[in-house]
Amino acid sequence: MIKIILFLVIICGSFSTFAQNKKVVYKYKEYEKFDLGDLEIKGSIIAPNDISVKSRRRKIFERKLLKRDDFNKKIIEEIKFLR
Amino acid sequence: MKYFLTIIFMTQFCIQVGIAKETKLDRLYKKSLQHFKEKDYFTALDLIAHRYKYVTPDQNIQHYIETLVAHTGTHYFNTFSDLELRKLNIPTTDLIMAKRNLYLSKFRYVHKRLKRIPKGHRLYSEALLVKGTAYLMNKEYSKSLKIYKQCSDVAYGWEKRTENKQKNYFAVLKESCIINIARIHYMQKNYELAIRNYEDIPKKSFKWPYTLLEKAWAYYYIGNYNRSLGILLTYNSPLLESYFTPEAEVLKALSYFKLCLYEDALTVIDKYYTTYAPRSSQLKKVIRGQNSKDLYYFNLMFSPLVHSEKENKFLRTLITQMSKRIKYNLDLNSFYKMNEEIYRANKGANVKLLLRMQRDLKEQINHYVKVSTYKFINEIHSLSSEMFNLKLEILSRKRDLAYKNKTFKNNRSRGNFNNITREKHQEFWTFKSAFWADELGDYSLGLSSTCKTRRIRQ
Repeated sequence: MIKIILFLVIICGSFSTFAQNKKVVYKYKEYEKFDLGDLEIKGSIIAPNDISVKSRRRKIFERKLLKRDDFNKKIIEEIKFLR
Repeated sequence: MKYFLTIIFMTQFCIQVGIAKETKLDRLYKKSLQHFKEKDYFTALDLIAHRYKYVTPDQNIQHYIETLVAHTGTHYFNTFSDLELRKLNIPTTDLIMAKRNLYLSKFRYVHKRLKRIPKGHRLYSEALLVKGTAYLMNKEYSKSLKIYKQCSDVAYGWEKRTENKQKNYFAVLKESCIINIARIHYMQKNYELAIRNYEDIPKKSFKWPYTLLEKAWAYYYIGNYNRSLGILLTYNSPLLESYFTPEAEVLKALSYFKLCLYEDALTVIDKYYTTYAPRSSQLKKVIRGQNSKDLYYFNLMFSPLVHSEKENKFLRTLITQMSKRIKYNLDLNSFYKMNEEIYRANKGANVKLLLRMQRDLKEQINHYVKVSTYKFINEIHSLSSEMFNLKLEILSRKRDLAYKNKTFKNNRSRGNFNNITREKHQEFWTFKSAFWADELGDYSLGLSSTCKTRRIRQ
């Protein structure tokens, strides 16, 4: 008897939980009105009125020209030329 | 008792061997001395030095070997290993070892070896030159300056005391030390001081033409491009034709470039490509064709200048430059002395040994000339890339001017006296009844810099 009662309680419990997971459908406003004239943005206009290109400094590629920092090689060479 | 007898026997045996050894060495010494008296220095040296490769000689023998080396030159020891040189323990071998260590950048051992050379020794000034260089390479500049100064003083003392070839040797040593002092100032960017020291080299010295290029570099870095160009023009003199150096051409082009005289710079560059580079390539061909010939470079030094000039103009330049170097002259001197010894053929002279020694020396000279020749050719080719770089830079600058719609404010002119900067001790020379070569090395151009630009009007 106790077994039958317990079985019935479980079945009833499961039905109640299924009843709680009801499918909800969210819908966005189907119609909304924007008054663009009423919108105000704070700031200043920086774009030029006419079309212009800012002059750019031309990249100068300087080549490494011959440098003579020391004469160390010559000094050693001269010692070799002595004897 | 048995043991006692064995010990006595062993001791006697050792003494006997010792005596035998001593007598053998004594005999060798006497034999060598006999050759020395007969002026067969090379035979005498080979006899004694060969014996002491593995045993350090006593002071008397060391002194004797030093005397022999004064006659034969040091080239005999060039083929000795470090270990063999160390055993001989004489100033000559110490100097050779110090130099070997210098080339390997083992400066500690350079000083260790040089410390042993006595102050009164004829090689002391050369030892000071090596010592100063060791300090320089180790970036101890103040010590290096001090040693070079000492070197020039010591060499000057010997120059006054000696004559002929020896005098020239000490003069070259003295000048080498002074030039190295100038080079240290140059390296430390004290260009004025460097120029002062370069000016201490007399114009008659064989080292003088080489200092011109270095002095021109110093003026270039000061910004005195006119003086730099003037000095370099000295190489155009017929007297200095054989001192042609490709680096001078690059510096000439660079100086014109710095004055914004692009057309002049381009002329120098074009001349380099049309005259010097092909001439160098031709020299390479001539040499490669003869390379397989035995001792070709040695024989080249003895061929008539007219003949070598006909083959290639640079060949004459090279031969003249090399024939003036101390090493070549010392080796040649030894070569002739060896010849004398061979032809004299004294009793007991080992002609086979002498011929072998002479062959060794010939090979050393051959190698030295070969290395110098290839260095010269390589220098011309490596510097031609520098010239190409400069040409590109000039073309790039010219293009930039065109893009900016600009041109140089002033045109190229013949120059003006106002553009010449002079030191207090320098003056304009009138050349009234003066030798025309007096002014060599003291020229200056008076070109105006054309670097200021202006906008081109449409």
